Formats: sequence, structure tokens, C-alpha cells
Amino acid sequence: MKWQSDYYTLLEGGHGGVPRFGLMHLLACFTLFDGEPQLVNTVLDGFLAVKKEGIYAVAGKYLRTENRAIVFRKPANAIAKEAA
Amino acid sequence: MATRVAEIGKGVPALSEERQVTWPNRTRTRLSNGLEVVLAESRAVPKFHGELLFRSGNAAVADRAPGLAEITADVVRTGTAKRVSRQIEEDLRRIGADLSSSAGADMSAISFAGLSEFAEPLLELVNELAREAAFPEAEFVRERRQMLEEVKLERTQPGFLASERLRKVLFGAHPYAQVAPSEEQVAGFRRDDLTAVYREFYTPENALLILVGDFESAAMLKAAEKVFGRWTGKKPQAKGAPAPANPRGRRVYLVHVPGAVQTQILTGCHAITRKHPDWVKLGLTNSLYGGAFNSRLVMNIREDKGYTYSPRSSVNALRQHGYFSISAAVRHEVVAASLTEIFYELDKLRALPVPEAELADAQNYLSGVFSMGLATQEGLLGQLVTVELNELPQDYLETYREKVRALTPNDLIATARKYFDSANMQIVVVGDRAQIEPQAALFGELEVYDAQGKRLQ
Repeated sequence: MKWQSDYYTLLEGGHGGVPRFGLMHLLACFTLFDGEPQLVNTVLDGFLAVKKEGIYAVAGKYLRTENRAIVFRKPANAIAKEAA
Repeated sequence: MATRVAEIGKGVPALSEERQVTWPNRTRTRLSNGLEVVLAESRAVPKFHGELLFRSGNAAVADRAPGLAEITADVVRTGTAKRVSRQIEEDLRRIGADLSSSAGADMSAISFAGLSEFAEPLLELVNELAREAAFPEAEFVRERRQMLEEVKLERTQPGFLASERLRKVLFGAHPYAQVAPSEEQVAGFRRDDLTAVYREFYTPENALLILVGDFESAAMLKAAEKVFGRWTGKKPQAKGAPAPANPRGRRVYLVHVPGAVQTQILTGCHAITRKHPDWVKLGLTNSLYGGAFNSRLVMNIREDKGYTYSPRSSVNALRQHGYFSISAAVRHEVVAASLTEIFYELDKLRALPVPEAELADAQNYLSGVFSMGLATQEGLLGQLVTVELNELPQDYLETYREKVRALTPNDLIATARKYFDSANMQIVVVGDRAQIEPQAALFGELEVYDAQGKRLQ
């Protein structure tokens, strides 16, 4: 439901004050990458058809611990203190 | 630079006639309990956007502590008599909705958006927040801790320090002079302070419900009556504040930030509120001066001289008073040079008529941006909020573009002379004293403060 709601906002929404920019952008992407601008009318159905199992499967495939990178941001003086 | 503009200019087709706007079906009425309601139908997507506004904000409680309305609004959405915070978030997700609460100087608001099919459950939640917010102690303590961090962080930001000082200088003893609470004030907030503000502000007589989106107005009005109709409560007592004195003569206020890498300039003078008949004139004059990217100030100190990345001027309207301001973050060594150009461009608009072509560009820009801003549900909602909160004429939106188009070079020069009060501008510079004091002192009598607001010798 949240996805559906956000999708409508994306279509209507602006980019730097340009209304319907989202719709234009999707039409351009679907035309460029798929040759099918009408996907803008059906892509939402694909997202709404996603089941729990599908999410587990994708998470298991891509979000693996060994692929993880963690970035810590510390002030330089804290690093100097740790080194001392 | 000039030749490049000409090259691009050749390929640009002429502008077509400005298109007519089909104005949305608008309803303005009151519920049986007195709650004002404005509805506008806008059907591009099957959603709706809304705000429940209260005509009181931080300024109305500044005598207790600035920021009190803001933290009240923050905690409002964290729990009701029926739902804990987590339940609220889960319910919002289930119906595909977003909700936030906030407060400004003159108002507090619960803002929301969701799918039209679930309008009623979303309105129910808004109603609960407005009438039965529970102010859970743990949520209050968490919000207070977060506000304390924000207040500390703000004091390291030159933009904040500059606007804090300018507002003090322009508004003196008036509540608008106080833009943020001190750390001590935040630490001293008690849950009872918030519930007192809540009882006082969040009443139907003080409120205004505006909804924009894909709905039938009659059905939506019925739903609003069902949800909000039994809510009762009085308007808070209006507190008058004496009009602030308008500072005379240029003065300079230096906020000393040792080791600052650049200097934040902010200069301003009293102006007008949104309600004032000169508002559109001042808006266009400002747009031409420094309110738009291709404006004179940006072309001069950014494009031509390279003193700064993002100079800007704006007309800031609060409900009771307004002010005009110009800001630019510049390198230390060009503080005096930048101020010279800032005043040169102001005085030029006061002295010489604007060429017709430049005026036409500014009119196209302002009118075009206005039209685009109305094209989404959220944009239209924002404009209606402005109209209602400032009590503007009901045909304000419909007639705005004509008013912009009707202005002449004579109107602009008169407006600049009236409001670009060059001789009485108050100048704030935030930066390292050692680098900028002699330059700043060239522009008027100088006072120096530290980041905490303490006067230095």
C-alpha cells in the first residue's frame, strides 16, 4: 500500500519544481531501456505482486554478510587519541 | 560570458502564450463546531494531501520559551490515548500514508497525505492527534534530547548565527526577535509545558482544515463532519505585542567565530506582510534584484566576480511584520567588496528604471514558477495554506499572474525606493574577527558578539 501511494506521488511529483517530472522520467527510462513506454501503466502491478518469499530469496542472494562494507566516520582527534 | 548567452539564445524558440489555468473546484465552509474547512479537487493521482493548521506558533509562547510550540508539535505525533508511537507508524504504512507535525513562528500544523480510498482512517488519526495526544514521557524525553543536540549544532552554523542576530536587531523586544531557545531553556522544558501549549493551541476555533486531492467535495465534507464534528474548544487569548522599532542608519553586527573559513553576510531591513497591497510588487522587484538565479545580484557577485557561490535576497513575511534580507557566504578578503556590490545593485534599482526586456523576463519567470507550483496536489495545498493563514483575498491565486504582468518599470523603481531601504540596512557578518573587522567597520558603527550572543569589546 505504501509503495502504491509513493508510486503515485513519484508520477505526479516534481524535480526542481517541474511537475509530472516523475512521469516524464519513467516514460523516458522505459522507452530507452525497454522500448516500451506503456510499462509506466503496469510496472506497479509487478511490485504489488511481490510475495514475502520473493523478498527473502532476494535478500538471501544479495544482502550477504561477506558483501557488507561498514564505514565509520570519526573526528580526526578521536583517531589520534586511539592511536596514542 | 555574454557571448555564450547569445549563442544559446539563438536556439531557443519563442515563448508561447501563457495558458489558461483551469481552477479546481473549491469549497470553503465551516463544520457544525466552527472548524473552518477548505476543500479543493485535484484528480491527477488517486491521493489527497491535507493540513490541519492552528493559528498559533512559537511567537505566541516566546514569553515562556522560544521553540515551545515546535517541541509540542514534535511530541504530538508520538502517541495518543488509543495508539502508541509504533502503532501510529504501522497504521500509516498499512493505508499508504505519510504524516508529520511541525510549528513555525505563527502556526502549528499536522500535515498528511495518503490514498483517497483510505481518507477516513487517515482523518481519524489526525483527529486523534489533535484531540487526544498522550505526550508519553519517554517520547518527550527523547525529543527534548534531540532538540538539545539541534540547538548545540545550530550554534556552529554561520547561517543560523547570522539570522539569529538579524532577527534580534530588526525585532528587538517583539517575539519575532527570538528564533531559537537556548540550551538551558530546552533542558528546562517539562512535559507539563507542552501539554499546556497543546490545550491552548489545538482547538477547533483556532484551527483550519485544508484538503486537496482526488475526492468529491460533498462526500469529503461529510467525512470531515463525522470525524471532527464533535471536537470542541475555544480560541486562545490573543496576545498583542508592541510594534518593533524600525532601526535607523546602517549599523554592523559582527558575530565572531574564531577560525571561520569564510564569512556569512546577512543584511536586512523592515518590509511588509503577505497581506500588504505592495506584496506582488515587492516580490517581482526582489526577484529581479536577487531572488532568482538570473537576477542582478547573482550575475554580479557570483557569475561576474566569483565572490560567492549562492547569494540570495528574499522577502520574509511573518504574520504581523515582514523583512527584506540579502545573504551571501563570501571569502574573507572580499567582505567589503561584496557589500559594496550588494548596495550598488540596491541603489541602482532605486535610481534607474529597469529595461523592458529584463522586466519581461522577470515577469515570465515569476508567473511561470507560480503556475508550476500549482500543478501538484502538494503545491496547490501550499498555496491555499498561504492564502488562508495570511487572510489574503479569495481571488489571490486567480489574479496573481495578471498582477505580476501588469507591473511597469515605474512600479519597480517606486517599490525599490520604498522598501530597499539602503541607508538603513542592518548588516550582520559572521566570521573570524581578525580577518574581517576592518572591512566590516567601513559600512557603519560596529558591534561585536560571540556565537553565544555575548557582546565583546
